[in-house]
Amino acid sequence: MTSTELIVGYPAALDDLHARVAPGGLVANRGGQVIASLGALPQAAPTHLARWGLAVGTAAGQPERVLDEFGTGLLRLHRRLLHRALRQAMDHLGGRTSGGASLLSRQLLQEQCARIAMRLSEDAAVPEDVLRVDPQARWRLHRRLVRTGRAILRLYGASGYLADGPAADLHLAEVTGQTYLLPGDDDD
Amino acid sequence: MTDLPMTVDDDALALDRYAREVGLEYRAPGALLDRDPDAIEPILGLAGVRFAQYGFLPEPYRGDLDVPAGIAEVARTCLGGVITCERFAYGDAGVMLASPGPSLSGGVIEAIADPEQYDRYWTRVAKPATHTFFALTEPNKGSAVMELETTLRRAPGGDGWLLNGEKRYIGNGSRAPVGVVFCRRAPGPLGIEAVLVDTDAPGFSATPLPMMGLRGARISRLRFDNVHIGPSDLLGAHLKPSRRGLRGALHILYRFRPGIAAMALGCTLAACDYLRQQRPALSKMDRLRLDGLLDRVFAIRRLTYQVAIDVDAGDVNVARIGAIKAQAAAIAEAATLLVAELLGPGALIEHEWLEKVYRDVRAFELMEGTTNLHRLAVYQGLRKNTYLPE
Repeated sequence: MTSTELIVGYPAALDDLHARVAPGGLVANRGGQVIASLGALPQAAPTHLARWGLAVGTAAGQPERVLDEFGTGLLRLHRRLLHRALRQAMDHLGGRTSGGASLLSRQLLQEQCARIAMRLSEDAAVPEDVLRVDPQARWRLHRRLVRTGRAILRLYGASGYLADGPAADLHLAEVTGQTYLLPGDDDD
Repeated sequence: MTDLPMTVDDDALALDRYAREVGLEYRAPGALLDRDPDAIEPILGLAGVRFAQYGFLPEPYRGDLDVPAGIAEVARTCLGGVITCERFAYGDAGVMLASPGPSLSGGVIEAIADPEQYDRYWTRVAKPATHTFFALTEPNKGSAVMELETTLRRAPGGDGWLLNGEKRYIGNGSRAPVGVVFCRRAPGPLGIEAVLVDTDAPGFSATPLPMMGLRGARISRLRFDNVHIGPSDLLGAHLKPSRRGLRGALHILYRFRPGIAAMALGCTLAACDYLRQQRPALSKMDRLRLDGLLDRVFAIRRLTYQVAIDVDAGDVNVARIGAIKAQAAAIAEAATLLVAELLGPGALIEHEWLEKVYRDVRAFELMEGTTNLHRLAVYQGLRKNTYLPE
C-alpha cells in the first residue's frame, strides 16, 4: 500500500484510463453511455454529475475486449483510492484524541482498520486474468469495494461526508462502476 | 406509501395523513436545493415547511397555522416527530432539514430555559423564516459531550461570559440568527453549559461546509472568538448545574434520535417505491432480494415507532434508541444500493433523484452518533438486561 502514490482527482484518473484503453477515444458501456471528465466531453449536456467534474455522453459500442480491459482498470483505480483513503483515515484517527489518548489506540478502531486492510488485501489478490474475462466477477468485486469504501469513510466520522475529502472520489468510483460494471439482463 | 406500523390515536393518524400529503410536495424543491443549497426561498411557502416552523412551537407562539390543534400537539411528541420525519423525508430529507424552525435547540429550551428565556426564544423563532441551530459537535471531539473544548469564561468585570471555540457539522449554522451552543465553563460534567447565541454578536462567524448530501441543510462550521454571552443567555441559570447543560444535551439527543431513524426509513421507503414505479415487473430473483430487504425495513420501522411511543411514556432506553438509529441508517444505505442495482447499468446517471437519495442517506450514519457508539450502548444494555430482556 503506498499512501504517497499520486492519484489526481477521479475525473482526471478516469480520463487517463480511457486514454490507455482506447487511445484517441472514450469507452462506452454496453448501453452506449460514456462517463468522462467535463473536459473530455465538452459537447455533452450538463447533468447532475457536473458538480463532481464528470460529464455523461454517448458513443458507439466497443469490442468486448476493450470493455473487459476498461472494467478491470476501473476496479484497479477504485482499489487505489481505497488504499489511499484507508491510510488517510488512519492519519486522521491518529491525530484525534479522546480521554487523552489517540483514537487509534482504541481496540475497536484498530480492529476495523485491520479488517478493512484484510479485505483490501483479499480483493487485490483476485487475478486480473479472471476479472478480464468475467463481467460477473468484476461486478462482485465492485460491490465488495463499495462496502469497503463505506467502511473506510465511517472511520473518518462526519468528515467522511465532506465533498472535498475522499468521499467525493469514492462516490464517483461507485457511480462509474454502477454504470460500466453492472451486468445487464443479457449478460450471463 | 405504507401505512403506520401500529395502532395510534386519532390525532397521530391525522398527523400522518397531513404529513404524507404535504411531504410529497418536497420532491421537486429538494432537487433544487441539492443543486443550490442557498435557494431557500422556493421552499418557504410549502405547507410542510410552514408546519416544520410553526407546528412544533408551543401553542401561544404558533400563530395562524391552519392545522387542527390536535395535530400540532401530537407533532411535539416523540411519536409525532417520528411520523413527521418519516413522511417528510419520504418527500425529501434535505428540504425537511433546511426548514426554518426550532431544530433541536427548541428541545433544549423546553428542557432547561427559564420563563424569560423561553418566551424570548419562541417569540424569535415565531418570526417568519427564522432558522435556528443546535451546536454540540466539535472538530476534535465529535459529539462527545463530556469532552467539549469550547469554553465559557467570565468576562472581564464580571458582566456575563466570553465564548471561545469552534463547532462543526452544525445544520443551518450559516443561515440561522440564533442557536444553542454547548460549551465548558468548568471541568467535569457539571461544568458543561448551554448558551443562547445571537449570530449578530461580534466574534461569531459561520461557514457552510461542502457536504456530499443533504446539502440544503447548510451544514456549517461555527467559530466563536470572544463572543459575549450575557447573564440572561446562560440557559437554565436558575437551575442547579446538575439539572442544566449536560442534562439538556442528553435529553434532546435521546428524544430526537428516533426522528433520525425515521428520516432514514422515509428515504428507504421512497427508494423502494421508486424502484417499483420504474420497474413494476421484477424478476423472481430480484423480487426476492427486494422483499428480503423490505422485511428488515418493516421490522426496523416497527421498532422505531415502539421506541418513540416508549419515550413519550417516559421510558428512555438509550440502547434501543441507538440501535434503531444505527439499523435504520444501515438499511437506508442497503436499500439505495439495491435499488440502483435493480434499475440496471447507468441508473445513477439516468435517475437524478436516485443519485441524490443515494448520497443523502449516508448522512444518517453520522447524525446523532455513529454506529460504533450505539453498538457500545447496545452492549451496555445487554449487560444490564435492558436490551433483549429475557
